[in-house]
Amino acid sequence: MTRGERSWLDIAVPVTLVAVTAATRLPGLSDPRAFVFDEIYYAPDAAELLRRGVEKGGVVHPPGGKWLIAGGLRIFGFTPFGWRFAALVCGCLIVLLTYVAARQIVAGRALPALAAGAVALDGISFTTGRTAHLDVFLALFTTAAITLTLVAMREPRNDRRVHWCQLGAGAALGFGLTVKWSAAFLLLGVLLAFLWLHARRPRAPGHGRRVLGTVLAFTVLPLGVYLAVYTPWIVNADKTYIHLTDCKNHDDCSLSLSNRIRQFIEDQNRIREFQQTSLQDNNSNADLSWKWVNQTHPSTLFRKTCIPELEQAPNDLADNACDGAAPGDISEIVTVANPVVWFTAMGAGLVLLWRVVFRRDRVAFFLLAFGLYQWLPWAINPRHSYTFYVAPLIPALALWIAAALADKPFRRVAPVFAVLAVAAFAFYYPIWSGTPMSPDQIRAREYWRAY
Amino acid sequence: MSSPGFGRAATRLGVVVAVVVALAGCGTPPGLDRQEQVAFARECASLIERGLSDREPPRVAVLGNEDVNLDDPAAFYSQLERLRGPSTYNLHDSTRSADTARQPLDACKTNPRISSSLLGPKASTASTATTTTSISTTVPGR
Repeated sequence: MTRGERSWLDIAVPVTLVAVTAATRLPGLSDPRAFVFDEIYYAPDAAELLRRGVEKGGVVHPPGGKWLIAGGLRIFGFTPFGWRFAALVCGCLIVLLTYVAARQIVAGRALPALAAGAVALDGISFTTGRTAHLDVFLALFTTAAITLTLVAMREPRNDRRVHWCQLGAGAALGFGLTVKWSAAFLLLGVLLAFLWLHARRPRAPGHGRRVLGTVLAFTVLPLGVYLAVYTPWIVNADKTYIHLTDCKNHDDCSLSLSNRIRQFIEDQNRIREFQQTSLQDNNSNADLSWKWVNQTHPSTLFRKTCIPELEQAPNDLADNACDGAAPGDISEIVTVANPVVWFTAMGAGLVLLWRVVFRRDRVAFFLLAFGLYQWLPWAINPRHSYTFYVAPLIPALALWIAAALADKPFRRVAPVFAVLAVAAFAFYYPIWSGTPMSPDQIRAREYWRAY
Repeated sequence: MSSPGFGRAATRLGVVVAVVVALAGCGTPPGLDRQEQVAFARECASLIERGLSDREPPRVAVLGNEDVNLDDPAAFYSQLERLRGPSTYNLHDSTRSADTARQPLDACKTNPRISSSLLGPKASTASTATTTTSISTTVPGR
């Protein structure tokens, strides 16, 4: 292959992947014209960030993801397209990052494209990439951190590359923490990966300084990013719901800097309290996270039975969920994985485990760690979880698939996997996009008949 | 990395994205309040429709002190327009500055089903087995 061909493909393949992903996700992005599940919290919170720099209601997550949603609202207004736009963009970027990450671990472009395609074709990535939930933003930052770690691991002796990659990964995880605290799960895994890179060269000059730099990159830097994203919140702390309620009986509602910092700490405590006490075990849409392994209890984000009477809804009240539906059809958005992608990934995980145990394959070890660090903390938690929490895990699972299919015995499986994944995407597309179907067609897509 | 200039290109792309996001986040777009009011009116109607449309007739619920009947759609929607008109929202009423944008939805609660599904997840799972799925869809998670 010539140099010219190489550079052309370096652009063409990722651009095609992003374009195809956007082409599958863009149609009907505005429908339903109602809030899908937790959009009811995040879209108004994002609008409040634009208005006042702070959410007014009680919050359970930091503002980073809501600022990204606010970007879409700023451009397109408070419309369904506006509040979902950031998710669309970030979902496409995740596909791109998965491609780049996979190129670090397998040769050629076919398997990396397959890994990126697996993310694009997955139902959890698809639904979270089309709705204004926070998990797609978390997935973007965790995938960026994984990608940068793999870039560094590819050339561990290139100090400059390792240095910049660890700074990038630390910053990415800092941004991840501003979306959801669960980014911390991966932080430890990535920190260990960089420490391992240094441990391989204990006698290299400046070893101690590099280790210290790595520790700072994954402690001080994320903390700095976290505080920087919270700066507008601290500046506008006098406009929070809690403060407005507290100061109702006082003439002066202004806050000193020390009081603003106290408000910030109290806000962090409220988030911690929610995360610790909210078991969500009474919500029929949530289940124990270890059950993610067989996808028996996916979260239904939206469901509406279509009847002829709904056609008379005036434009300013119609949610358009039943457009083109026959009487009795159901519009449903279910966060369930593409079964081909998911169960292939489960098998690929076993292949990687075999490679870790019998071949002492360190890349396989870290790939497994990047996935399991984002799963096990949930799995051992009694809290019931929603399947859209899986979104950051999907790119890691796609990397498992790419790494496993790179093994000689499995290479012939790759085309079969690609065809089946596309076929499954086409089959399940209606329950990921909310396209109305008859109850029988919907039931045919419940692959465990359990939800 | 796959190509020598990739790191530089990625950095530039990151800077461009950061600048666009920062610029996009500054200020409020024109008509934001009005659009938000319309969105909540739609959400309100959608919640009530979802609560009623998978029932057999009569599809009647109590909204505030009034019955709403989806089997008579013309009357149903004119009632909703009247009850849920944008004028009832209070996003910028200074006397209610502690209110949140979500509060108008409290008045969208029909009795008994919608009220339990939006804000009381416990009650939603206690609904009849045949309608569990549809009810659970409107239970926010976070």
